[in-house]
This record gives sequence, structure tokens and C-alpha cells, in this order.
Amino acid sequence: MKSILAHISLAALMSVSISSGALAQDKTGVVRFGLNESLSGQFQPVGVPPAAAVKMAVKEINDAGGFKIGDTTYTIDLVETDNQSEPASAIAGVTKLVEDEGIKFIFGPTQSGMAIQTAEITVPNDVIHFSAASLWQSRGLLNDPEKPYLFGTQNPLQAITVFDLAGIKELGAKKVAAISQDDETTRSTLPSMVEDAKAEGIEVIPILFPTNATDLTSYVSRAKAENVDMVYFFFPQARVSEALRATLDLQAAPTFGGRAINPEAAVSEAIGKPIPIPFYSSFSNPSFEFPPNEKVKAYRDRLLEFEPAVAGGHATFSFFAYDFVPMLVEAMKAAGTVEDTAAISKSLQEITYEGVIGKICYGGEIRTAQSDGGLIFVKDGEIDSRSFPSPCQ
Amino acid sequence: MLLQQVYNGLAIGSIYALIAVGITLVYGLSRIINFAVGELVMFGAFTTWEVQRLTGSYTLGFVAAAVVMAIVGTLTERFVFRFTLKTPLTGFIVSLGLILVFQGLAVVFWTANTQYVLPPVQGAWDLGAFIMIKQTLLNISIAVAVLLVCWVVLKRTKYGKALRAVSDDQGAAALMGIPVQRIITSAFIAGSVLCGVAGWLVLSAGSISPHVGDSYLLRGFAVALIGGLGSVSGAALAGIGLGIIESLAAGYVSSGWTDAYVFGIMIAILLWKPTGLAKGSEGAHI
Repeated sequence: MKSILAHISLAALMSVSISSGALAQDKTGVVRFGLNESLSGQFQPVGVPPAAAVKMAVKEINDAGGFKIGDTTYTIDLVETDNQSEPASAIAGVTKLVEDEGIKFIFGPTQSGMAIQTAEITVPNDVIHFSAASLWQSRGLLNDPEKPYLFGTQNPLQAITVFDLAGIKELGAKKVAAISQDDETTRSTLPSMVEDAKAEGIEVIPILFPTNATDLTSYVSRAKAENVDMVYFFFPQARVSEALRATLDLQAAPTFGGRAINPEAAVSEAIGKPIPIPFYSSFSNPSFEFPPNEKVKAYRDRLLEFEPAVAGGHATFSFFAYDFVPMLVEAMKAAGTVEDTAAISKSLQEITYEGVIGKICYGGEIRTAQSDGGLIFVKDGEIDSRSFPSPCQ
Repeated sequence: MLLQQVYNGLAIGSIYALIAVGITLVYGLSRIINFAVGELVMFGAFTTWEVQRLTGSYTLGFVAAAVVMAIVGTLTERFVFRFTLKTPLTGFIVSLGLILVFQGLAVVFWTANTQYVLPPVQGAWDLGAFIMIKQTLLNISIAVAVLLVCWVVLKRTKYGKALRAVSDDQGAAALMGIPVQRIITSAFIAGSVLCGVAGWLVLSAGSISPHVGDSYLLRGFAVALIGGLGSVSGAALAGIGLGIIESLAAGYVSSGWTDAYVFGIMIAILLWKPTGLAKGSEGAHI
């Protein structure tokens, strides 16, 4: 009897130990990320691709079982808000995420004006906030010690200028008319390109058109009157086909350049036949339409299957978001916490993450991601591409 | 560059002229200022885009734009503006709401993405002094032809006479047996069709989005006011003039001043002649 009781006690004790051990191994948690993007309204083409990229990245992490810190396995709960391309809605959405939902990690908005305004909410709340907004760079938010939790996801503007100048020099242009919409994005970015080009002996003449310009022909005519070697179209990319067609019809310049342009789409839409002049486009990220490697191609295929609407917008903007979700997760793992944003922020600036867009790090002068960039050339009907590897180790 | 910019301006101005004539026709008959004309242009452009995309035919797109906008004009007059004929200010306010309705519908139908297609005619002739883009010449020709038709209808037809009679005095026109309500409805339809044609020109000249109407609305109104609200010939001439001024401003001064030049001229003309260059505000006339 005594031995039976002893066996039963031992068995009970063992089962409690095993179940306790199992419970300890099965600790789970949820970390909440917020997303605020233009899923409707006039900036929908800008907002849909990065939003889809974040959603896909979160799904992939969760489908793989989440991520582990210590003895806790975390999954991500993504709370999505649509700013409807309106600043007031962006502010309301981010306020809801931060103050009502208590979220400490936010992606977007990508549109610069809204990103500036929503930073006013995230900064005082020590929220880690990611955005590709160029205004964050040009207005100094990313090297402001008072704003240590803002993280840019676009290559430094100076790096993009380097890519552009390489393209301009490759096509042999010495005098360039830079045609662009007269807005904050242009005014925050173009002047530095003008200065850097001047240092390399290239004259860049800015020709800006109002945001409500109905026709670009007059501005391209003005470029022609300057006897330029290249018409360079900067922003918005949605109007590049107009500018390209006008350049060809008016014989405004012997070469054409731009930023983040899909040359195949631009040429087919503009003139429907092989472009008769040399053309280049710089990319802050790998080209979505001409993936430089299998990794980018596989990502592109997955994203288009996940969200077909990406194809109708600025698909390349998806690169401003996708890798930063797992990179944030890696930073949390390295910091050993999902809550201490100070520690996670520090960790983000120390790690290098191998993503779809190459090696990503925050090791530069300002807190914006350094990653691979590229150039696409079209000469004599042939498309050629060139990569600029990131400086991250 | 001067001749080139003048030629460019003719193309821009012909679109403004069509829109302004559409505004002035409606105002002349109903005293309603329809602020949704920009969205009618946008809808005309997207209708063309959709038909061109499906069939490859710009000609069909032109017909479709005219037909669809005629239907839109009929529906907006019948179910919206008819109730505001006795209070034109209400009609103006209602038209502001229509802007959001049309933009919202366009986003639902076509998304917010910018769209662009190859124009029906490509290439250009190098004339030495300037380059004559073929599509631009076609656009100018279409606009001139449409405006000429408007002029002939207004000046030489019984319908035009009836239209002028209604704009002058609705009561007297009714006593003469003119179907006043039907004439007013036809003005709304004609105004919408003109905007639809303008939309066709806009698409063939460049890119479109659900918000492209905003750009054409203010300019269309500026032209209608400069030409004389209610004066069809004034609107046509002012449209061409404004297009050329805008093009010259784009070519010779900073972009930040382009709008200032355009609207500064409007203010100056209205201060000098409050009813516009031609005698406006007295109904549709030539």
C-alpha cells in the first residue's frame, strides 16, 4: 500500500513538474504595431504599397510562429488606420493608435506632410516611428536629439543624389533641366542635388511647375530654350510619361532622366515604341519592375499576390516598409524587450539587417536607413541596370 | 521660344474656353454657378480613358464622353439643380457638394491612381520657328469646331433664339410658347457635354486623376468671369487668351508666379470692367 501511494505521489509530482515546465515553455505574448497610411484619397497610390508590405511582413512573421524573446513567444497584432490622404485624419489615426491603443511602434504615413504632423504625436510618447518621408530628413528631424525614436526608411537624400549624378554622368550630360512639381518634396530635395552637381561640373537648372499645372509642355519648352543636354524629371513620378512625351515631341534634349521611374511603363505610355534617346532612372531602392536579384523578384511576386492593388500605385514604395518590420523584431530580440523603446531604439541603431533591399543599417550621420540603391539605363532599346550596395557592414 | 509658348497656350486655352462656355451657358439660363464643372471634365476624361482602354478607340471615347456627360447633365439638372432654380445661391452651394460626390465616385470606379494613355495622334512637325505637336493641333481644331458649332446654334437656329429669349426674360419667353424648363435642361446638358469634350482633350494632352478637375475649375471660372459671365463669345476668347498668358508665364517667369499672373489679370479686368470684357451677366449671348 505504502509503495503504491509512493508511486502515485511520485507520478503526481512528476506530472506537475512536466506540466509546469511545459507551461513555462509555452509562454506567449502579443506585441502591437500600428500602421497609418493613405489607403484612400489622392495619396492612395503612395500609401497602398507600403501598407501592403507591412501587412505581408507581419503575416509572414506570425505564420512562422512569431518570434521569441527569452521564454516568451510573441506574435504581432497590427492595428491599421486609414488617413484618407487627409492630415486631420492622419493625426486622428495616430492619436488613436498611440493614446487609445497604447501602441509603441508605428509605420507610416509615407507622405511627407502627414509624416511631419504625426511625428508631433509620436515623439512626446516615445513611440518608435518609421517613415520614408523625405521631409523628416530635410527638416532635421532625424538628427534631432529631442526626437530619438524617429527612424527614416529611405536612403539618405545625399546618397540618392550620388546615384542620380552617376546616371547623368553616364549619359554624358553637362547641363540638365530638372523639371519638378513646386512642393515641399521638391524644395527639400532638389537644392542639394543642384549643389552637388555643381561641385561635379554639372549645371542643373530647376524648372518648377505649380501643383495644379494642367500641361507640362510649356515647362519642357522652357527647358529646350536653355539648350540642355538632359531633361530630368523629378516629381511626381505619375506625370513622367507626359514629360517624356513632351521632351520627345519638342526635341527638348538628347537624353532623359528621372527618379524611381519604370522605364518600360514610361516609354510604352509615352510613345508606345522604343525610346529613341538614352534614358536613365535612379532608384533609392532596388527597382520593383526590374528586380536586380532573385530575392527581390521573389518578394515582388509574393507582394503582388498578397495585394494586387500594389501594381497600380507606386509599387517601389513598398520597399520603404517591408524589411523594417522584421528589422524591428530583430532589434527587439537583440534588446531583449518588446516594451522598452529606449533600448529597442538603441538596438535598431546598432544592428545590420539583411533584407530584401540589401544590408540595412542606421549607421549614417542621420537616423535614416542605408540600403542598396540602383540605376536603370535604356540605351539603343536595351535595358541595363546597376546596383549601389549599401555601406552597411 | 515665344511662338512655341503661344502655340502651347492655344492648346491649353482651348480647354479653358470649352469649360468657360459650359459655365456661361448654365449661368446664362439659370443664374446658377455650377462649381462642379471641373469634376464634369474629370468624368469626361475618365469615360474616354475607360472606353479607349476597352476598345482602343479614341473616337468611340469621344462619343462616349459626350453621351455620358449628356446623361450626367440631365440627371444633375433634373434631380439637383431644378430644385434650386428659384434660389441660384443654393444651386451654387449644392454644386460644391457635387464636387465631393463626383470625386468619390471616380475613386470608387477608377481608384485614385493617375492614368495616362497614348494620344490618338503622335509626333510633331518641326517648322523651324516652333514645333507643332500634332495632337495639340488636333485638340485646338476640335475645340474651335465645337465652339463654332455653339456659335452657329446660338446665332442661326430657332433653338438658339429660344435659348437667348429664355435667358433674357423667362416670363416673356413662356408667354411666347417657348418651353422654358426644357430649354434650361438643354443648357445644363450642353454645358456638361462641353465639359465632356474638354475631358477628352485633357486626356489626350496629359495624365488624369480623380482630382484633376480642381486644376480646371478655377481656371474655367476665371475665364468665364474675364470673358463676361453669360457671354459665350467672351468666354471663348478669354479662354484662349488666358491659356496663352499661362503658357508665357510658364516659359518666362518663376512657376510660383504663374497662378498669380493668371488671377491677377482676372482681378484687374474685373476691377476695370465688373461684367467682364464682353457684356456678361445678361444671359447667354454672342
